Amino acid sequence: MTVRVLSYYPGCSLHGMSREYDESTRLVYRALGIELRELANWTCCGASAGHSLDQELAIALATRNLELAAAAGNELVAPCAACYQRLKIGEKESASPVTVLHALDVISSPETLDRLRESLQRPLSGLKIVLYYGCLLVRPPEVTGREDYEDPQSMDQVMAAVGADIRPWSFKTDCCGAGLAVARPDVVRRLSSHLAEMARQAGADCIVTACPLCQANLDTRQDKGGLPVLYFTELLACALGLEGTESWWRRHMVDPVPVLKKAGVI
Amino acid sequence: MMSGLSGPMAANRPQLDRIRGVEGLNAELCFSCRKCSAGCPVADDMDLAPHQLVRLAVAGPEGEALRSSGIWLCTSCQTCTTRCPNGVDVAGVIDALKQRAVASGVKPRDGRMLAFHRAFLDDVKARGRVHEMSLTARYALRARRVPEGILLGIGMFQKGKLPLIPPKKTATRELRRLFERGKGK
Ligand code: SF4
Ligand code: SF4
Repeated sequence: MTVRVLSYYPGCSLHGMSREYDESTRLVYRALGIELRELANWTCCGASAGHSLDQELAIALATRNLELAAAAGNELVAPCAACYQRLKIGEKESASPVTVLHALDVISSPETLDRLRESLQRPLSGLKIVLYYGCLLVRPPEVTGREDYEDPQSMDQVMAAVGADIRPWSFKTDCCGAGLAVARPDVVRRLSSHLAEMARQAGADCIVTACPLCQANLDTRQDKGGLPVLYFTELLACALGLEGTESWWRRHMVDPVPVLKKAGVI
Repeated sequence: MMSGLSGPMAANRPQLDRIRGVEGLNAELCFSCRKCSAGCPVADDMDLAPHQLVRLAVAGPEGEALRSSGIWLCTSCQTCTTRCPNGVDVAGVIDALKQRAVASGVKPRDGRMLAFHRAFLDDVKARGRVHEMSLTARYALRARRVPEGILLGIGMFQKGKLPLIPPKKTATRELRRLFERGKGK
């Protein structure tokens, strides 16, 4: 039963490097009765290159996609924190009638959390996790409208609803190095390795993210390696007992299968 | 309220002449408490830290800030903007410095991130959607270097993470107009 219809902006990463985030988002949303309609002609949000080089172009690139969404008449959901941020800024700057949401916002709404609890097949109680929100999902509050930006809670609520063992840590919103990965991998390596080390010290089996850039940085730039980095939607698909998860695991640089098996998640 | 981001007017903000006094950035409210630099993840890698960049933007000499490699290391994580006690949009000031450096043809001391941003927008303009493989190739050409992460890239390719075939071009004619409209303003 469809309870909600949303326009969907996957963004470039979810059609490229991070297809498992795209697939798991679609799968979980469908299972929860939320229909995603991908904007047919969406184009890149411009990411940090846009606003670094040309303010006006940056706004125009976001606004173009918002116009497509306005024509479709639904709220617009983006799973990438960087796209979400650029679209959210576009929403404000162009006084768009469209509300931009991050994929986590939809799942953490009270109604969806209830559905999640009702549909739970395999509680994740054996899995110790830390939640990594990163930067652009929460900051700056003038853009995101969030009040809990120093200690966000939405992913905590979602993962608690499926019974995961959430370990407290202080690095939920520290930066992983974002778009520096290609040109300054040394900086990303320092930041991401530190995050992975802190996650390990917090007793986590894996790090859970809600952004393809965060996932890629943490998954590929750990000095010691070995700590899997998963999308929250991948774990929700497991918790809901959905079919079609196997192909995702081999696209991770740090193989999550041993940890997931040991915790009884797969 | 801080924010150089509110209001439809800001959409028409021209390329900046002066950063001091730009509505919404509030650079002139800085009292050099250094909170922005204290929370910045890359301050230690920068030649000039965020609070110094704000100071230079306000009081000059601005050329020092424009040549800095620090502005290009900023990850736009928004920690500084969020935490500034005076509502200075520090990340916005740094963006404005980058835009100004580009507009006035100033060469950064380290050109790698500028090359990356240019390569990125080249790919957006040519395809509508970024294809990671093309982006990396464009970066290598722009920066005239083999990307440091090339071995990792090969590993990711083997994992099936990096599609070889680019996505279909999308709305490229329309995008070309957007790119051209932004030029020379
Ligand atoms: S936090 Fe704000 S007031 Fe303090 S140094 Fe940075 S910009 Fe200036
Ligand atoms: S936005 Fe840039 S300057 Fe500000 S804290 Fe983040 S990296 Fe540092």
